[in-house]
Amino acid sequence: MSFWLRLMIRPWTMADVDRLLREYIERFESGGSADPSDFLARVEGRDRNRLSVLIEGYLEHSAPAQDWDADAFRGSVAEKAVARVAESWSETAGQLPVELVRLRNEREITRADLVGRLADSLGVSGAREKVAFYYHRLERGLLPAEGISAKVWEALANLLGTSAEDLREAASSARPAAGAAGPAYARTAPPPPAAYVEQLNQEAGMASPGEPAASEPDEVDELFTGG
Amino acid sequence: MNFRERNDAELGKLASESEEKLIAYIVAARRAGRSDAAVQAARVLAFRYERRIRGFVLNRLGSKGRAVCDEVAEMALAGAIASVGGFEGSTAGEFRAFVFRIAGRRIADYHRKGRVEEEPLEVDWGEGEQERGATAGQKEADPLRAVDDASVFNQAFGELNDSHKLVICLVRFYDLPHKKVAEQVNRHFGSQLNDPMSEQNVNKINSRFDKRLGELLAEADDPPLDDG
Repeated sequence: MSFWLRLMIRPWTMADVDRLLREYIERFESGGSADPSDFLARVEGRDRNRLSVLIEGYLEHSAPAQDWDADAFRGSVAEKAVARVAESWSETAGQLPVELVRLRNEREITRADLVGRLADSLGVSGAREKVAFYYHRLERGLLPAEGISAKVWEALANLLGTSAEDLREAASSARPAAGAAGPAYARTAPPPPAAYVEQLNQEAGMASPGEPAASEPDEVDELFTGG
Repeated sequence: MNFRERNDAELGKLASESEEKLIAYIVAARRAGRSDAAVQAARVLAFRYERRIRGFVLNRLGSKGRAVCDEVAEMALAGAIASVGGFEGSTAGEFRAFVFRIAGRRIADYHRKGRVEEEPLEVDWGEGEQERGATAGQKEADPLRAVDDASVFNQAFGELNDSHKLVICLVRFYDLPHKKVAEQVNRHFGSQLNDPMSEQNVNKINSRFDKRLGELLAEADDPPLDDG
């Protein structure tokens, strides 16, 4: 019976929605197209919305995962998605970020806590926001290791129960991610953007420090970028 | 560090045994500095979700064309994989909910901006539970924000307890007769149920769910008037 003939004989019912849902599920699970557009086109109004909602529920809560298939993966949306991530993973391929997080997690020290202790160790307790900015970049692989002073390496090593030499070694393969320039950037690093400082402060549960004032490199800049 | 690299076949097997283990493997590979191994496993994880996420995006954005939908699906999968570090120790269900939530967000972004926007990936290094919420990816896992983003299905589904959720899945998605559904639910939940599930209970739960979906769909059609 044609679509139009059926439409004239009786209105669409919930049974139609259920039947279309089952047909979609059968097709999906037999490896057919995941695109439900052709099923949705067969109902209108609230029935269409209901079918769409049920398909969504099925896909999230019941549809089977796709088993690995190297051939099908080639050229797929999944391949493109992973390529995006792989790029960002390899940009921070150095070991230092991994090592810092691992050591911190092992010792159950939060990033905010470590930042506070690091600022104290470096004798710059009043510049915790700026230390947070630099440490965050360090843990994300965004801070060139060659700019980091011996004092910072030593302080970090003490706090994380390792040696400065091990941290330097982990950093030796690290390179700054795209978007950060090379060592020149490090030596003239501008003060952290206010919005970013605010975000870090919220994370650390601190009051907002307002605009970072330093326009000339200060002691903290020197510690993290002066080598 | 004890990290043993696995090949594609082993990764596929690992994933089918437990997605949690596959996620833990990716995190371990990255902690061991083995980005290549992490990427290889991420391929398996992304592929597991690809058809479901493409179906999900096409369901909501199909009229915009295949290219747009594929790009939105790609962004959603990339965002989910980039955030995988925050899901170590979480259940596969939590990660699955996260992937679909990101897809919902990317679709909403497309509706809002009328284009697929490149969003910087927040790479998650597995900072630990205390610091979840620190990155954009982790913020997306925030349960409070999730409430705002819940789909109509998830709103109605989320109001059910676990045994009732199983009823809905078995009736709606497995098309089982109500008697069989009751048997399966009783077998699965056993003594956890105060009273055994009956065929009549299944019928009632299913009808109530249908009614609730109808209400939520009607609300979506007719949003309440703004007080302002």
